[in-house]
Amino acid sequence: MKIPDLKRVMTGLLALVVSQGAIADNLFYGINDESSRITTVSASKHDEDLFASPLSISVLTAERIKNSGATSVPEALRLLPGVLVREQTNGVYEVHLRGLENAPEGNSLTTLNSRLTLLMIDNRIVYDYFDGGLFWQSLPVGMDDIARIEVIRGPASALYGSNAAQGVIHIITKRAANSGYASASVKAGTSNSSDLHAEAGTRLGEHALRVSGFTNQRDRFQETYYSFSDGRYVAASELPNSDSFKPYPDPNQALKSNAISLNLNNSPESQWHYDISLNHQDSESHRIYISSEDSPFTYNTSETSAMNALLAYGNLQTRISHQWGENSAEGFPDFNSDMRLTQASLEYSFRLPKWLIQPGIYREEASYDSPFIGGKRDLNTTAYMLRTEFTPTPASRLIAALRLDDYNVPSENYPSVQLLGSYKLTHDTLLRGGVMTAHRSAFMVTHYLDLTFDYPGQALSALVKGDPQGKLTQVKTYEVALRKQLSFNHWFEVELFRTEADDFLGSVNEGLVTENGFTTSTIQIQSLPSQVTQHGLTLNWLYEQAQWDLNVFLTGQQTRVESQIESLNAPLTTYDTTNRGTPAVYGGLDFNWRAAPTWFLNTNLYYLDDHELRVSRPISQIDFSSRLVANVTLRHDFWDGVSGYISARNLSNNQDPQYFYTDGIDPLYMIGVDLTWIR
Amino acid sequence: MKLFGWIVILLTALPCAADDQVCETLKISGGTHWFPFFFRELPTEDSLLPSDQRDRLQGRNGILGDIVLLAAKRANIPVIITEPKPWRRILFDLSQGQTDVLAGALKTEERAELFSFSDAVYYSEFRLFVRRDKQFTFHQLSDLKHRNGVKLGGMSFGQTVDSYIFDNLIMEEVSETASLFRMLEAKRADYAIFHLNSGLEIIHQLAMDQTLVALPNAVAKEPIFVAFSRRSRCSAQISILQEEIRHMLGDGSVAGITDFYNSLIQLPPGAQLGKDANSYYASLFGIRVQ
Repeated sequence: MKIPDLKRVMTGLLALVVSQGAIADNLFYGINDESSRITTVSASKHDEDLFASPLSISVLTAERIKNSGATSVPEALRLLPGVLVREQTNGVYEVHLRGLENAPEGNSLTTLNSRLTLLMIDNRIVYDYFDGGLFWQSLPVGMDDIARIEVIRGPASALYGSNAAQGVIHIITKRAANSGYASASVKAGTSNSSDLHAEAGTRLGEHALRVSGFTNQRDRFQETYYSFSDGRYVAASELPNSDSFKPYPDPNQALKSNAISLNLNNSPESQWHYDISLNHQDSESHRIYISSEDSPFTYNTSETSAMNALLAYGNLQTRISHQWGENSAEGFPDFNSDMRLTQASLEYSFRLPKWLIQPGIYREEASYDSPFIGGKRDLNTTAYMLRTEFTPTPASRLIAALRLDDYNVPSENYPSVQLLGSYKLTHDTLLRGGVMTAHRSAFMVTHYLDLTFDYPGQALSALVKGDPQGKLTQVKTYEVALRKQLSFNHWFEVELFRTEADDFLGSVNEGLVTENGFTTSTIQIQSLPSQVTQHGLTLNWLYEQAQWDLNVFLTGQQTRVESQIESLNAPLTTYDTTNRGTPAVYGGLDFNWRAAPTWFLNTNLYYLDDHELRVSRPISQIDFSSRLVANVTLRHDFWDGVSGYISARNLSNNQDPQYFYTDGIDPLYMIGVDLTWIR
Repeated sequence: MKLFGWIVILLTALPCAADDQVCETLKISGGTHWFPFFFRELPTEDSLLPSDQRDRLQGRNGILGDIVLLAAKRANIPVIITEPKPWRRILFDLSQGQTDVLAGALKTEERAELFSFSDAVYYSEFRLFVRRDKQFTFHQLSDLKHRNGVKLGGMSFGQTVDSYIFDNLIMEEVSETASLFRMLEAKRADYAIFHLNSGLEIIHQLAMDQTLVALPNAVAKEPIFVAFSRRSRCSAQISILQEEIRHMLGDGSVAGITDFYNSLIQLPPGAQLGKDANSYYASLFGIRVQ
């Protein structure tokens, strides 16, 4: 596909949008009952009907999550289109939106981590600014804490800032609704897997209080580790340096996490509205975090706390959040970091007939203290935001969102843009399109790293240097889509996208320099010349009958890399190629059947086509054959407030590792009971 | 991918057991607590209606519910009132023929493609609700310029009013009815537009009678219809029911029902009810809830 084709389509779409349309009558509006329409807040920063959303967005409700039997957020995300989910070990995942996980290929191992996706909990950004990526295993959110998950596919930096380059995953948690209630959920299964969640909530006059907590335990499916030097899985004791570093204190433990949350809020309709959350989590897990030359896994511990406060007066809204704690990789004390992350924003919504104008300002300060980056380092930004929404006719909408980030590192300012248009061809058909730009943030490692290693007894040292002025990876996406509602709760969506990305960073080996008999090897983190282009198509079809519903979704994509590097050794030599890091086809199916009033069956499938991942430090490549993963859950409501279920998970034609020399993934069989008491 | 396709086909086929095509009863649905149009349980103590008026509603289901049930009774058609469902689900079931009759709906072009409708059986007035201490004079829509309004998402007040609102007014949309009045009470909006009768009832249930009032002049008056499924197994019975409702409109039966409810709503306790209103209910009995 040529670029001009899609651009022409986009231009045509925008021209169509400004034409006059008939007033659209809503098919579903109720009279005084709830319309039960699904709404989203992430796509426009205000509540709107999912069908009218101008972005590629999907919503996963608490009910769907419950029905699916999903045991973690990443596993639940397999129910949505455009999401690539790979399990590293029992309960530990890596999640990418729309791919580009290994583009350009041949970079260092940790660049496989999801650095182009932003994760938020109730608008609080949860992101690892140390080396980029998401700590799924350290979320202070249990499955029963989630009200819904909204996933934006495609860049959204103009709305949410850096790292929303390939999309946003927004977890919205529950608030106490009833006058008084308590609930508990207990799950247990194979591989010593268990999960206990408890919550209680009450209303205190105009205020609502909710307290919840969970503890989660998973064993690995194997106790061995892949050894880069041996080229096979070996016991921990057989790994090089295992005696001196002791990097794996518990080879059997996949994940252990505990968290507690407290939320206090009043009605969102109040003139003065507040919503305050406090939470704390501690976790231990095996995952790929910081590259080790011995084995891909590190054993990570994390203990963090966070506060998130929203205060709104009418249309003026301010939010302050603060997260603090410590992340460690056992056996690699240099990687340990104390972190502080503070975010504050002030936004106003100004309404006129046909116009909604939302100016805002945002301040973020990330501070990490670690030997690996030479002590305490800061990454700060002040961002200026303006979002305007113009509705020239009842059937059409134009949105322009601009954001300028003024970073301390690098010193260059980075703008983000979102230009969107939608047009209702008929009451049940929406055509939409847009152009969006976004960028990744600086990370502590990529921009502050400045290490010198002296090799004992040798006239040799190694320098590893970040670049404080290193360019930030930038992404531009063109998108056009059609949403069609064929009848009540029967609709499909087709979205076409083209993404261009460049300024990827890589740690380039600049070679050896010998002076006065002393040799120095330098690795410099710098921009790579590679330019990545991805073309894709996502289909999403939902069909519902009275007792059952079916959702089928599929994404097909092709990624080309111009100036793909041969290796990370200077001088860099390049070639053009098709990147196979993202499966050409991936998707799934979610089927719910209420077989009888008290019996409920869910079957969901997740498919990844064959693909390959290649990294250069350490040099290695894996070909992954296609896999289909099936989960089946049967739920029964015994009586009011008591239900139970059995679930068979990870049933697959392929139990090989899903990620880079991580664990093979075995089936998991779970049984659970949910208890609810309402005053 | 072939496997993927087979699974889709298999799963899709699984629950498609053929429905019984015999029409034994008409399935009737409506709003859950849409007083005075359709309700399943009598208004509770927090209702606007005093207790003696509430007692008069024993065995009744609101204006639209009573019209449909009385028509079915007169036509000797057995009926079942389906269990409460979300509004979207009700319309979906009606479109699929899993519900036969919807007792109370506004008519739109889109709905007319999927359902057939009775003649208009009632007219609902849309009014402006405001804070008691922030009342203003309302004669025409231009009086609302530069004020912040709020309405239920997707709610239509007719083409003319909708067009004016769109072109000239600042209007926020909310998903829940209660949010309309909560925002108004919290001074986040200057006015809300909603059905007069339902609105007063909800305000009372929210204990906002002392804070919110309805302004005297109507914004719009919209007809309410009975809607029928086009995919019902009971097409013959539906035709008979439609005809019976038409007769009831002609012989004053519908007017009697509406008079009864109007008198409940508008007249003080003890005032004279509409003529012979109670006689229409004497024959209504044996309504079972599915």
